[in-house]
Amino acid sequence: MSSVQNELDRLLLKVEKPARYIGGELHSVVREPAEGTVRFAFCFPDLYEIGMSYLGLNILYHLLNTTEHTYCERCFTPARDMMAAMKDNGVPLFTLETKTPLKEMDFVGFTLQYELSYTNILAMLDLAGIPALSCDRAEDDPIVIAGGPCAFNAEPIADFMDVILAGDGEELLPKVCRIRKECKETGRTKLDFLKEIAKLQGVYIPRFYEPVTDENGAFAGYRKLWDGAPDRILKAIVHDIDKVDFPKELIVPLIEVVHDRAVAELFRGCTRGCRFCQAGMVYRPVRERSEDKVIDIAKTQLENSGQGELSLLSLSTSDYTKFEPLVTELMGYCKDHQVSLSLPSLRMDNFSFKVLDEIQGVRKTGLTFAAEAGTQRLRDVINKNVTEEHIFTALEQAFTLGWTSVKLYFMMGLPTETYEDLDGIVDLARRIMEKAKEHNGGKVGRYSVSVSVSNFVPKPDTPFMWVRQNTPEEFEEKHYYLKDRLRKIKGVNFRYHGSYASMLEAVFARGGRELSGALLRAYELGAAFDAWTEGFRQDAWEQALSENGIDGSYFALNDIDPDMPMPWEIIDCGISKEFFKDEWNKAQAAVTTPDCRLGCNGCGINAHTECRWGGIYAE
Amino acid sequence: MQNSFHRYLFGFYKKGNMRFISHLDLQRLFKRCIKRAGIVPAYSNGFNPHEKINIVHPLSLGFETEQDYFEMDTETPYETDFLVDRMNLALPEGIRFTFCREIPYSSRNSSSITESSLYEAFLPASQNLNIDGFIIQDRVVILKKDKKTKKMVEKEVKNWIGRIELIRESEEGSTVSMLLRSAPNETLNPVNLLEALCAFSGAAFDRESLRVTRKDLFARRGETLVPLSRYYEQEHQNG
Ligand code: SF4
Repeated sequence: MSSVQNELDRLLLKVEKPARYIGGELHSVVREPAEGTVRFAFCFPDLYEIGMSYLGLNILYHLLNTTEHTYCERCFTPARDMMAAMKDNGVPLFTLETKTPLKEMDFVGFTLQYELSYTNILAMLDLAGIPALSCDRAEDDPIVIAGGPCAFNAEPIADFMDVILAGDGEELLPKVCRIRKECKETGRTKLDFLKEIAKLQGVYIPRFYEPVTDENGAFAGYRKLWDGAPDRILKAIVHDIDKVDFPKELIVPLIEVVHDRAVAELFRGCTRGCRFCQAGMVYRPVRERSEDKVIDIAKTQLENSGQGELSLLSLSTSDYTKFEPLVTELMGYCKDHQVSLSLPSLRMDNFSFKVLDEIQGVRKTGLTFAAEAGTQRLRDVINKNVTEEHIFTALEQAFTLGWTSVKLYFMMGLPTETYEDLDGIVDLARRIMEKAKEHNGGKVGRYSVSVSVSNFVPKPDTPFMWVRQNTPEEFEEKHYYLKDRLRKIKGVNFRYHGSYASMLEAVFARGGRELSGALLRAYELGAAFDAWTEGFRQDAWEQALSENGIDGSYFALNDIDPDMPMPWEIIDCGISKEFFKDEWNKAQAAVTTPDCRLGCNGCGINAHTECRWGGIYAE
Repeated sequence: MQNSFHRYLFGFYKKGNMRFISHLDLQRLFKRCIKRAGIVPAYSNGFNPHEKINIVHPLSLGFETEQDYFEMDTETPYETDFLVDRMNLALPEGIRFTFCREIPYSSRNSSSITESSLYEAFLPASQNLNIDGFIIQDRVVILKKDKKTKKMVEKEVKNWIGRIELIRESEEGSTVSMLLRSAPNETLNPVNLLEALCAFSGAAFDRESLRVTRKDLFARRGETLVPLSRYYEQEHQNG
C-alpha cells in the first residue's frame, strides 16, 4: 500500500463520512498499472456524493479503462474538514483507486458541469501540489485537461487548463490518451503533444491563443500565438452513439449518494429548442440509442449492481422514438425484479399517466411541471411549449388518479419579464389549488402545490446569450413579491435561490480570461463549494472581484450587441450565429419556433453531421 | 404463514478500509448484494415493504470485525453454500461472508439473545496499563458524549465489563482484550473505556491511532457464553 494509505488511516477517523475517501466500491477498477500506462485521474470538482451521481463519469471511466495502456481513476473534492486535515498532515490529493498522488498522473481531468464549481478545481490542484496556472507547470507535471458543458465557455478557467475538450468526449478522450502515450515513448515534449492534439476536432489549447482588447478595454477577439492552431475549435461530435460502448457495470457507491441507480441514456440533444437551454443547443443533433441497446444496458446494469432503481436519462424523455414499447418492456421487467423505474422530464400525456400510475402505484410522489414562466406570452418568448390547457388537462387526470402533490418549476428574470408574468405564477398556483380542492370536498387537506423559482442566467450558445440578467436587487424584489402573494394561498409553498450566487454564475458563464485572477483570489480567501448555499462566501467573492478590478455587473448585467465578438466564440458549437440571432429576434416578438420534428429550423448543425429529425412528423 | 419462513444466519468479516462503512450503509450494501445474487428475501408487510434482514448489534464506524452476524429470512429454502458463494461474488473487497447456517425461524431475532461482544484493541501510544487497579475500583467511570446535548457526560459502567486483560505489551504499544456486555440499542464503546483506563494508568492515549477489532459476539446458554456461530448448534443438539 502507498504511503498515502498509512496517513489516511489516521485522518479518516477524524473526518465526517470517511467512506468518501476510501474507494473500493464494487466495479471500481483497481490495477497495478504496467510500465508505460497512461494514467488519468478523472476529477469531479464537488463532493463524492454529487460526483458519483453523474453518469458521464461512469461513461468515461469505462471507456478509458477499456482503452489499451490507459488507466483511469477517480478523485472528488474533499469536504472542508478533510481538506484541512490533509493540509495539516501534508497528505497530497490522491486517487481513490490506488491512493496515488494526483501529481504522479499523466492527466488530471476535470469535468465542468457548473460554473460554481471552479473554485473547487483550484482547491483540488492546490491540494495536489500542482501549480494552478498552466504557465507555471513543469514538463513533468500532469497535463490538466477539462471538458463538459461549461467547456463551451471555459475562458474564465482557460489559464488553469493545458487542454479543453468541447463536445462529446467518448471518442476524443481515448484518442488523446493514445497520442500521449506515443509522444511519451518517442520522447517528445509536452508542447509537441499539445500541438499534435490541437489538430483534432474538439481540442482547444488555450495557450495557443491570446485575447486582445480594443481601445476601450473590451474583448476584441484572439491573437494566435502558434500559426498551426485552428481559428476556431469545432466541438467533437459522436455521429452514432449506438457505436460507442456504454457501461454495463456502474460503480456501486458504498455510501448514500444523490442518485444511486442504474441508468441508461436514451438520446443526446433535443429538438424542442427552448431558448434558455444550453444543453438543448450545444448537444444537437438528437442522437438516439437503439431500443435493444437501451434494454440490454438497463437489464445488465441492474443484474450487475443489485440496485433498486432504474432511471432513463435524456433532455426530454417522452420524445424517444420508441418510447412506448421501450417503457412497457422495462416496466414489466422492473416489476418482476422489485426495481423502481424513474422517468425524468416526462411530457404529461395519456401514456405518461398510464406509466406513472403503474410505476408509482399507491405511493405517488409529486407530479412535476416545468412551466418555466407564468404567462403564455412569456412561455412563447422562451419557446417553452407548454400551455395552461396541457397543465390543467394533466392535473384533472392526476387528481382523479390520486396524486396530491404538484411541483411547479419557474425561471425568474427571463427576458421581457414583467410583474404581470409573476402574477401569472401566483394565479396558476391558485387555480391548481382550487382544482385540488374540488377533488377534496372543498378542503386543502393533503394536497400541496410547491412553487420553485430559479434565477435566469444567460448562457453562451443560446439565443439568450446576449441578454442582461436581473440585478440581485431585482431578483430579491421579485422573490418578495411572489412570497407575499403565494403565502396567502393555503397549501402552496415557495422556494427560491440566492441571487448573488446566480450573478456569479452569469459572470463565469459570459466572462473571459480576465477572471482567472479573481478566481484564484476568491479561493485564497476561502471560497469553495460555491454551488452550496451552506458555507457560500459572498464576502470572499466581493473582495476578490474588487481587488482584481472586476465589475461583476459588466458581465452579468449588460445587454450585449450580438455583433460584438465574444470570448466563447473561439469554440464553435456547430449552431450558426444567424440562427441564434433569428431566435433572439423571434423571442422579442414572442413568436415561437416549432419542434424540429415538424420541420427543420435551419440551426446549421447538419453542416457538420447528419441530422435526420427535420420534419419527420410533418403532415 | 409465518412458519413457512426460512432464516439464515451468516457470519461475516469487515476489514481494512471497509471499517469506514457505517451500519446504515452496510445494510444497503447487503440488500443490494442479495438482489445482485438473485436471491429473493422475504419482505415485511405494509405500505412500504422492506427486506427482512438484520445485522446483529451494529458495529461502530471505524472498527474492524473478524466475526459479525447477519440474518436473512426467505420464503423459499436455499442451500447455505450457494448463499455464501453467490453473495460473496457481489461484495466489495474487505467484506466477506464466512459461513451460513439455517436457524429456526422465530419472531425474535438473534440481536435479542446476544449479550456480549469481544473486542481487541491495539494502542500504539500506550504503555504500563494498570488494568488490575482499574477494574478493582468500586465504580468504573467513563466519559461519553451525550447524543442529545453533545456534551461529555460521566457514566458508571462497571457491570458492563465482563473481562478486560492485557494480551501483549511491547515498545510499540499495548494490546488489550475486552469482553463487554452489549444490548441491541446500547453498548459500551471500548474506545471510551480504554480512554478511562489510560487516564487511570497515567498512560498516553491517542484516539486516532487506536485500532479496534471485534472478535466475536456471544449469547448465553445456561451458565456459559457461546459464540453466536455455535449457539444454534447447541440448541439443535439439546432439542
Ligand atoms: S438541423 Fe434542423 S432539424 Fe436538425 S437540429 Fe438543427 S434545426 Fe433541428
